[in-house]
Amino acid sequence: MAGGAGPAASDPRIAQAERLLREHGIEGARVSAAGHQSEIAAVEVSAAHIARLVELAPEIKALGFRYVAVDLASVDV
Amino acid sequence: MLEEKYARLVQILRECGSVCVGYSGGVDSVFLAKVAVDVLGPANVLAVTGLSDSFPAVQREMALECVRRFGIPHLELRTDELADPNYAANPANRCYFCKTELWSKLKVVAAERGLAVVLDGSNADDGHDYRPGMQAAREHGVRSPLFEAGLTKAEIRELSRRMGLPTWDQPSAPCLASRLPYGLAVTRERLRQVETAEAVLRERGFREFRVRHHGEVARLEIARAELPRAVEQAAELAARIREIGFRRVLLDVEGYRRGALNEGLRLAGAGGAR
Repeated sequence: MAGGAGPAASDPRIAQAERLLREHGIEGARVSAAGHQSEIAAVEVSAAHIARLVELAPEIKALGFRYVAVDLASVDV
Repeated sequence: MLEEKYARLVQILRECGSVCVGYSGGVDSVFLAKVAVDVLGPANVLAVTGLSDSFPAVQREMALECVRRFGIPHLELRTDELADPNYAANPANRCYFCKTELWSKLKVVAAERGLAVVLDGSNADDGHDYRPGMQAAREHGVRSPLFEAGLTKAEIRELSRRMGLPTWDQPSAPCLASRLPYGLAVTRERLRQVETAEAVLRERGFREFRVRHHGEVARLEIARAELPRAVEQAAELAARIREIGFRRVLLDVEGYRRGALNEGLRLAGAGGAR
């Protein structure tokens, strides 16, 4: 997915965010750092998990992101 | 309490005698211009709109509708804040440079027309956010009667409703450059992308939102109540907004909030320069 391939691979926040999501029952979610300052946690996740993601947003931001957002291209309704 | 504040506003306007109002067509400036005409008469009031690349076309439509409906004398003039490299670099005090351009031109207009005071629509709530534009207003001797009268946004909406102003429940509509995070250069192309993407959301019935421009990424902030509908339309929204030139379209899970791009400033402790 565009926006997260390069620096994302060495960004520890990504593995931490994916682990956090797994621990809270969101399996298969992919996270990348997006934005011109890599300030956004861009999450690829199914529509069924978005409500849970909203609840977890503060914890994901605490990893060092300013925003948490769903990649609309990944949402299957 | 509300009546007392309104009376104070009337008193301030009477003291001014004749006024040139910075007029964007938003909730505050429409209310201020209307009250100024009621108090001072149309011969003593001129509402002036600065047209620039950062001024949304949809806002201009509302501005024009209100001056027509309420008999507010009106002038449009071209402003070009993008020509100032200090503004285009998009620092945290970007609004200072934009407002400096606006108020310097309005002062000339006021002097040419013999209008005593230039006014802006800042209200009592504006002191709580990071507002470098208010510094530019002070430097140019611009008065803020709504702020001086202690009127909050909610109170201005209530008074606007009582007066039958169509703006009473209009969402806040700051300039398009406010959708770009500080440090990302303001360009005509980026402003156009934001305006076009927001038109897509408006066409689809969304009411309170911002399209935040993060370079190749569009981050949609949509009111929490409207988020489920955005998720239902995810694929269509992503496709339409990518056509505008964004590589990736993201939906912020926390929804729309005013001044979201200032959150980074507060986190960094840089928000104290009001």
